[in-house]
Amino acid sequence: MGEKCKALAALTAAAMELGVVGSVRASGLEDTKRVSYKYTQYREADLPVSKFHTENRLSSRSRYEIDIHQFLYQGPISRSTELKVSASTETMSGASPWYVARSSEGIPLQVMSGATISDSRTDLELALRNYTTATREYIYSFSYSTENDYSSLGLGYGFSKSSENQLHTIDLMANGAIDQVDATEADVYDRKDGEIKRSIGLSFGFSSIIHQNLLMSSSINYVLYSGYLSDPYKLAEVGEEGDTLPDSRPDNKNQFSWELSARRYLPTRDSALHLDYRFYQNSWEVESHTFELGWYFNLTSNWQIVPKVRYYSQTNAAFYQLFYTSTRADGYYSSDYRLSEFDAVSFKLKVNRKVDFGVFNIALEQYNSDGSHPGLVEFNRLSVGFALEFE
Amino acid sequence: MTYHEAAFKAMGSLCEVKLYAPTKQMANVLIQGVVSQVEHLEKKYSRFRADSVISEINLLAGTGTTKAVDKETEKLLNYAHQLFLHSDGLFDITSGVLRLAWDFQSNRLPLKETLTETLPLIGWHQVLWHPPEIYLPKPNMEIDLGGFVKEYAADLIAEALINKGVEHGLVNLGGDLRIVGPHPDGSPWVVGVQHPRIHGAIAKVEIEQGGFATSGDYERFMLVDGKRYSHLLNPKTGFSIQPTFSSVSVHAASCLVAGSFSTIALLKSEIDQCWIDRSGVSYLKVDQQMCLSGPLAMLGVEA
Repeated sequence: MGEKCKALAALTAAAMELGVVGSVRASGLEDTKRVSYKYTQYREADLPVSKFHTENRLSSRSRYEIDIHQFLYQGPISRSTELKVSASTETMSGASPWYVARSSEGIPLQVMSGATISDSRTDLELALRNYTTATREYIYSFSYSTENDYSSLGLGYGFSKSSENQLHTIDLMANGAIDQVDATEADVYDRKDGEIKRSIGLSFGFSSIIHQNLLMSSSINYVLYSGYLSDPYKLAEVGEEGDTLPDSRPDNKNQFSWELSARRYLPTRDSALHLDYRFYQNSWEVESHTFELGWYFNLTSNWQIVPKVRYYSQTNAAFYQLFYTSTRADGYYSSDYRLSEFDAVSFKLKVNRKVDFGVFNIALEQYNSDGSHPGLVEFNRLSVGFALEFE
Repeated sequence: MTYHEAAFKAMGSLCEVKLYAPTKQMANVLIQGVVSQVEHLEKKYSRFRADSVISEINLLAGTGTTKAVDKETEKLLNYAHQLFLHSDGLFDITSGVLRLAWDFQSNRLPLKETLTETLPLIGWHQVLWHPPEIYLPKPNMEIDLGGFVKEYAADLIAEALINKGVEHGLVNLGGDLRIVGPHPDGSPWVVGVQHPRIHGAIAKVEIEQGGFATSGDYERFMLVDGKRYSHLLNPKTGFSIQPTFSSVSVHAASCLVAGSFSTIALLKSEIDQCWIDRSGVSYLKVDQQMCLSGPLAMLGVEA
């Protein structure tokens, strides 16, 4: 921090002590209501021929295409309570990675499912924020999601407390979810049916305004999963004969993550830098690091462009292998590319256009990953949306 | 919700309150509250009143007896300590004794001997400040919070109004402003910046919230042999500072911080013209040729 910024931070802090800055209305509520809609087109790149196992004649190189419509409403329902409702529907089609097989030269190739998979999913989320005082709020959330072969129900409860001068905030959040997996054509493919997965999560966050142009926050999160955590649609090749066994993972997983973010406003350039880091670790020995850098640049008072770059790197799960030469004593098998060791880079460009009654935006993202698994995904994502604000 | 305003004299300045309230009676009650709050602060911190906390501290200078101050005064003295540190000693609440040497009514420069006698009485670093105990170690040493108590008062009043439910209004204590909130339709308050040389505004600035304060070389000055000597005095040399800018206005979250930055910017301008530029606050500078610069000059409406 420069000497002069230090002066501002020190004098602002001393002024805060005097209680002369930072009063807000007794309720932290905004009067404005917000309605927004976003359409997203997610397209995975076709699997390259060089990584594709062609022996299965039903197999397709065309991977997922997903179209998503998201709606959101946010607004006060009383003097101290705000309601947020979000709903989304998505339709997906395309082939997904099934298992990894060896070519005659021993090269790993991805066997894909048939291209006929098509599914739709609906999500509903409700959140109530209750401001008991200017510095304290409680959050209650409910979520429900359903698709042909899957349903999920979640509940959350949180508490947030700000310091009197509004410079520091702590958040505590607990949530739980129960999911049911009913794999399609379970009897035909010997897939699991009626399996249950549970999760319980706890998170603790702290955010602080260091000075008027710098905001820092950090949080730690812990989630405990239990039940059926395997993927019913995936197989793993085991042994020299090319036999396959269903994807099978431990029935519990503890995961821990730590996030750190900084938001630095640059008044002379009328822009803001967002820097985020995330460390993740789970009991399956997957460890990952994510770095993201975004620059929010105001071209004019109505146009904003946001270039972002994200780097992700993870290690593989302890029981993961591309294929297994022999059976395992613990019975765990998974060749899922999401459990493999890989790096990924994504670039995103977003443009926001402010108008009198809200904001229009368009964003384009390109994601590329790199690792030894033949089924690693690459995709483009295009989204177009608008948000309306009214009293 | 209707508009109400009132003007009154306090702290040696013209003060005004503008606010929106549901009824005239309610506005009157709120304004009465403001007036008595200003009077209370003036009584407590004026160096001209024998019963003020400041006079009590000053009277004990050099006597060997320390004075324990109340919580509010303790925080104000801590603020003064920060001002001293971050202005490299240029903003010093012990420098008030220099007025014995400088008589701005006389149009005569102070005698060197008078300055030589006065300078040893100046320096916050000499003060024994062990909160809440304060002691001025030399007889005739003095402290004076006049450099920021008006700004503090503007903030305190605005905060009190907010706590009483006022959402739209402003408090102006002799040009030190604190906005309570924008007009009910969301439009900002238009604030005039005093022209340093003639009566009237040199610029107008639109402000929705926070504090706004201006320091200038025009508040008190004298002309000696055609040269302008302002009331801005360097506590280290005792001489009048020749600021590069005739005024600096600052917009910050509080009036207190805005006023401190505008004063430090002027005090520092002799040696560091760019001090304010990267300070993280929004400002408007008026140079000696009456040219405007700074982020607020870009946003402002020229008068």
